[in-house]
Amino acid sequence: MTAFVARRVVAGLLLLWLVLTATFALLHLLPGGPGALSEDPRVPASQRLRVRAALGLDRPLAERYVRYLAATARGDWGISFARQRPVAELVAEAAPHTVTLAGAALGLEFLLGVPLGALAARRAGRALDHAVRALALALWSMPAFWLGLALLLALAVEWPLLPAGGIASPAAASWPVLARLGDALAHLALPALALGLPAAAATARFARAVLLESASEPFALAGRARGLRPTALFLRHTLRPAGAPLVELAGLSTAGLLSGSLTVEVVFSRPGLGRLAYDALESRDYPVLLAVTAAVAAAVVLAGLAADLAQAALDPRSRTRERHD
Amino acid sequence: MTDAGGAGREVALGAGLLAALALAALVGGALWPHHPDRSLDPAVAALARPGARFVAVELTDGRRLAAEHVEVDGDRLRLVGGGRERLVRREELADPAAAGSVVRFWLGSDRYGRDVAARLLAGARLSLGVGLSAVAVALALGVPIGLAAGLARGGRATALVALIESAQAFPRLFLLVALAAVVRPSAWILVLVLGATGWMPVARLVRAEARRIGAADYVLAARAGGVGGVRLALRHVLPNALAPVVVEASLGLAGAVAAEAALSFLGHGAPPPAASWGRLIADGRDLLSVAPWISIAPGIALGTTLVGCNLVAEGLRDRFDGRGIARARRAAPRAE
Repeated sequence: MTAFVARRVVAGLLLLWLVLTATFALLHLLPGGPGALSEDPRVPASQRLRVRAALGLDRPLAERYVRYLAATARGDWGISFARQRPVAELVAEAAPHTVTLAGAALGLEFLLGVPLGALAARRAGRALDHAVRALALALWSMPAFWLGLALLLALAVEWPLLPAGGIASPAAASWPVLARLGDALAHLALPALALGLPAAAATARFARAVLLESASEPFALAGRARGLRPTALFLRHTLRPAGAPLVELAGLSTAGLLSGSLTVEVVFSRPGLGRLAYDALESRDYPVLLAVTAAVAAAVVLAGLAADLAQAALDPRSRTRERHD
Repeated sequence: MTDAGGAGREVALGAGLLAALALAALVGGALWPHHPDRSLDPAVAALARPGARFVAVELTDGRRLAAEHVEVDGDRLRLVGGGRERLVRREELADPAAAGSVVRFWLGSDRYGRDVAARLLAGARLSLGVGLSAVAVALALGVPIGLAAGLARGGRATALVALIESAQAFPRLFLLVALAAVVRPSAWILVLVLGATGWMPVARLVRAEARRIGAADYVLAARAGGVGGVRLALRHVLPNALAPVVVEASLGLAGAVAAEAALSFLGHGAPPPAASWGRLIADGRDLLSVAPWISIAPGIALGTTLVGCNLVAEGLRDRFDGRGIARARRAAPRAE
């Protein structure tokens, strides 16, 4: 197990390095990037010089790359063009909002998706199964930003039950702790639903298939032959073996949830990483774009690593199997 | 497991939905009586409810006025609508013999008095066209990379897997947003960018298939017979990996259409005046409580497309199951 963990961690670090290199290449090698900004005649000369200096464009590419890696390791991501503040600070302020949102959505995904999938699997082929599958298909096929708009219209405009956006009520700063927490949760509810419900629907369909598969394994049959009650059989010989693929799915979901959080944060004016990236795109704030892109990709790598290790703890077979085959 | 009949029905239903959408996108715009960019008298006909009916009166100066109804008053027409009355002399009419034509907005109108249904049909062309082309690009990249990664040995295989994995670590929409800052958007650039951010699942799947098939006896026989490299990959491995690739292409279409919609929704899809479904949804965003149909109609069109793709993919996968399709791909994490 130790050797496995070490191998995975090293692979994860290598992947992280590749991701950082790819981000660097993205903004420095493609035509039209920040380099073009520094040569654009419409940009004032003083501005152009500042951009060149800020990006280190007056130095050779290799030197820029090494400096970029070193600075990233130090947590120094430069100064935002648009906001004149250290990029690391902006990312650190925005990240918790995205982590809460994606975390809440991941929670919904599994707390709703797995029980629904289990329900459908236990009633496979019956009316309830068909109903769950149809509902899940419809929800799965809804883009998060559109579902967000629909929820906004229904639950914030027509029946104003929940706040329409932001992260806290304007007066909340002076409220007692519990009231502030409730307020924050109320602001989280709609975006988390918009992001989490389609994911939960996909997971319900996945969980149903995985559970049906593990229910047909020889060990499940053996359990039945030993006279286990249906509930015990389900928990021990169907749900438990399905744990490893579900954990793998949780790791794979991270990229999708982070991706979806971008539009959801824009719809609900939530000041997270997605909103930060969107604003940076609008103002062509390259240092911020570079940092946010690298940060979310690093988060995906780390989530994949965590899922790998958790899966290995749950299912010894996965330690020897090559990943994702 | 789903019985084969159920899976067949899913595929048929999904394919039917997609065919109907494709047909609407191809010929709908030509058959529909309204032009997507032509507006009708916003003072009266803007934000009309679905099914709303107006009388349109064309004037000699090119203006097009709308009224809820028209009363003939001697040599003048009285246009009633939008809470007021306007008088128009007959000689001002482009066609003095007719007292206007009936215009019906089956899905309502937007803030400029444009027909939502016509814009939806025009958007279908763009959304589906860009989505399909992007999938073609993703396949053109993903299939060869996957084949090479699956059949190569040693360092080259490791390098290709590292390429696939590091590309897949980027949440698609963040990557699209970063790329939007670097490349100027046009429909073709959009296709390339969507393809370049969508090939990884294809490559991963093809790699897994190629490794499985590469170990088969007939491939060994071919290798022993001196077949190698490209010919081996194309003649002996690829044909047997095609079925799951179709599943992946269907999911890829859903992903590409959804990603394009999200990007257009953010205002960075194909440049104006072209409007894909994502832009149409964004157009109605601040009018949700006044005229929700502007956003709801393209949202339903988008949802129907994704349902069609997902049905085809899931139905086909149930049929091919046991052919080594990675289980985790059942619930494809998707960018939206």
